[in-house]
Amino acid sequence: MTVLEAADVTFRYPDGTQALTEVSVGVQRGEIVAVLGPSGAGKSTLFKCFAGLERPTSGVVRVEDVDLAGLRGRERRLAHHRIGLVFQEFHLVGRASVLSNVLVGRLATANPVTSLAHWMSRRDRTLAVELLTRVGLGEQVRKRADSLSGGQRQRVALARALSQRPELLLADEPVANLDPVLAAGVIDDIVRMVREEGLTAVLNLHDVSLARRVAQRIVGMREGRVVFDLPVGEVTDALLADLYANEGLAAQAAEREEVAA
Amino acid sequence: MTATIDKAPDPAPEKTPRQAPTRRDEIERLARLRRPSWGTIAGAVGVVALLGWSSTSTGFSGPALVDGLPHVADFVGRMFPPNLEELPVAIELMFETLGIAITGTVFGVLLAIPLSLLAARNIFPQPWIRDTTRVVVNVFRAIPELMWALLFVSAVGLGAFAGTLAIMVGTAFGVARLFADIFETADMRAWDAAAATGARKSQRIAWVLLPQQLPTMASYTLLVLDGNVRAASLLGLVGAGGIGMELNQQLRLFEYGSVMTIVLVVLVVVMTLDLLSSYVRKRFV
Ligand SMILES: Nc1ncnc2c1ncn2[C@@H]1O[C@H](COP(=O)(O)OP(=O)(O)OP(=O)(O)O)[C@@H](O)[C@H]1O
Ligand SMILES: [Mg+2]
Repeated sequence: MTVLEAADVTFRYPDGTQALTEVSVGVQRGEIVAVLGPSGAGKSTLFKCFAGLERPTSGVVRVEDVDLAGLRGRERRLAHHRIGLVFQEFHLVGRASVLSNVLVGRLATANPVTSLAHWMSRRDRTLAVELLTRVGLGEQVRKRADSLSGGQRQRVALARALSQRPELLLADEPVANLDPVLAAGVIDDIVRMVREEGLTAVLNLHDVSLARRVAQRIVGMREGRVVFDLPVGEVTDALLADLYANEGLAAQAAEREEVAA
Repeated sequence: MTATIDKAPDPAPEKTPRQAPTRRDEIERLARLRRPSWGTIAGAVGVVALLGWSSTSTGFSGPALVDGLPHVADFVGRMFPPNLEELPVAIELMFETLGIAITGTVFGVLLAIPLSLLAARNIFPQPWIRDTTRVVVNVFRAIPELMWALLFVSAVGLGAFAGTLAIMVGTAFGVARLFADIFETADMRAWDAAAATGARKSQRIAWVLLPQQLPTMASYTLLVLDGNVRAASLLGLVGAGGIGMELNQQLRLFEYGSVMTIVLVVLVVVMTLDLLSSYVRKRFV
C-alpha cells in the first residue's frame, strides 16, 4: 500500500526559483527510501512538500491518501501529527529538558487545557521515557537539551518524532551536522527504530555510502527533477557519478558570477 | 555550499590605476577640518533655543539658584541628626511599599504576557491583531504611574490597594512592549517543529516559546521591579499607600529629622535591591 505519493509536484519559490519540476515518487508501507542529489537539487524543498510545510505550486502530495494542502484547523493538525519530522539542526528547545522536548510530540492529542501547565498523562510520559531509553538516552531524561552532544540531540529529535506515533518519518539531512563516526551511529539508530516501529521513512542524505547501507530504494535528484528511482542493488557507481557530475564545476561557475556581479 | 570556499577577493586590478597620483591630495583632503554643515548648525541653534525656552518656562535662573543655596544648606542641616524614633514606622511602611511594588509587578507581568503575545508578529501574524494591540499598549504606556494612582485612589479609595493597582497597570503596559520585542527575536525553529507535530499555538507558547524566553523575561522583570520600588515610594504623595504618605506628612510637619530617616530607609532598600537584582540577573543569563 502506498503511504506517500507525490504526483507531478512542481514547486516555485516566491522569488521565481523553480526548485522542483514534475516530481513523482511513491513510497510503499515499510519502505526506507533515501533521496540523494547535489546541493540545490531540491531535496529540502521536496521534504517540505512531503511534510505539508510548503504547498506545491502544482501537483499533489498525498500521505495515506490525504492531501494536507486541502485541510484546515484540527484536521490539518492531526494530519501533521501522523508525519514525524527530523531536521538537520535538531530544532529542539535548548533550555527545556530532554523529556519535555519529547513530550512536545504528544501535545496534539493531549488535553488542550491541562497540557498548558505541562501536565501530561502517565501514558504519554511513559511512552516518551521508553523511546528515550530505546535511543540510548535513558540517563539523560532530565537533562537540559542544550547540555547534550550533537548526536544525542538528534536522538532526542528522533524520539520526539517517534512519540507522535507517526505512519511516516521524514528526515532532511539528519546527520549533516555531525562528524562521520557519530553520523553513522545516528542513522543506524533512526533506521533501527523505523524498523522496530514498522514505519515508512524517507531520508534526505548527502552521504552516498550511508544511503546505500540503510535504504532499500534510492531516489536521485538533480536540478529539481528525479533522475533515477531504483532499488539499492541497481544503483550503480556510474549513475551516482552522473548524479554528482560537474557539481564542483557548477559551484565554481556560480562563484565566478558572484564575483563579477 | 562549495561556492563559499575560496572566495578570496582579488581587488588589485581596479585599485592600482587611481592610487598613486592622488594619494597626497586624498590624505590632505581627509585630514582637513570639515566645516559644520548647515544642518548641524541649525540643529545646534534649535537645541539652544529649546533649552532657553524650557528653562524660562520653569523659572530656572542662575541667580535664584545661588541665592537659594543657603536655604538648601539650611534645609539639609535641619535634616541632621536623623530622627531614630521614626525608624520603626519607616521600616514598616517600607515593607508596605515593597509589598505594593512586588504584588504590582507580579500581576502586571502576568497581564503583560497575553498582551505581548498578541503584539508579537511571529506569534500572531495577522497585522490587525498586532497593530491594534501595539496602539493600545503604546497609548496606555504613556500614562505615568502617578496618574494611574490618582485614578485608582478615586476609584477604590486611599491606601495601598490603589497603589498596587497603579503599579500593576503601569507595569502591564510597559512590560507588554518589552516582552513583545523579546518574543519577536526568538528562534522559531523549535516552534515550527512543534507546529509540524500538530501542537496547538497555545501549547507551543507554553512548551516552546516561554521556556526559551523565560530567562530574558525574568531579567527584565527584575529591572522593572527596581523601578517599581522607586515609583511605589512616591505613590503615597497622592494617597496611594506606602512610605510616600508618611514622607509627605513629616514634610508638612517640618519634622526634617524624620524625613531624613525615611529617605535613608528608602535609599538603603533601593540600593540593596539594585545590587541583589543585578547579581541575580548576571547569574541567570
Ligand atoms: N526560501 C527559498 N527561496 C528561494 N529559493 C530557494 C529557497 N530555498 C531554496 N531555494 C532554491 O531552491 C533550489 C533547491 O533548494 P533545496 O534547498 O531544496 O536544495 P537541496 O537539495 O536541499 O540542497 P542542499 O543539499 O544544499 O541542502 C535551490 O536552487 C535553492 O537556491
Ligand atoms: Mg537541503
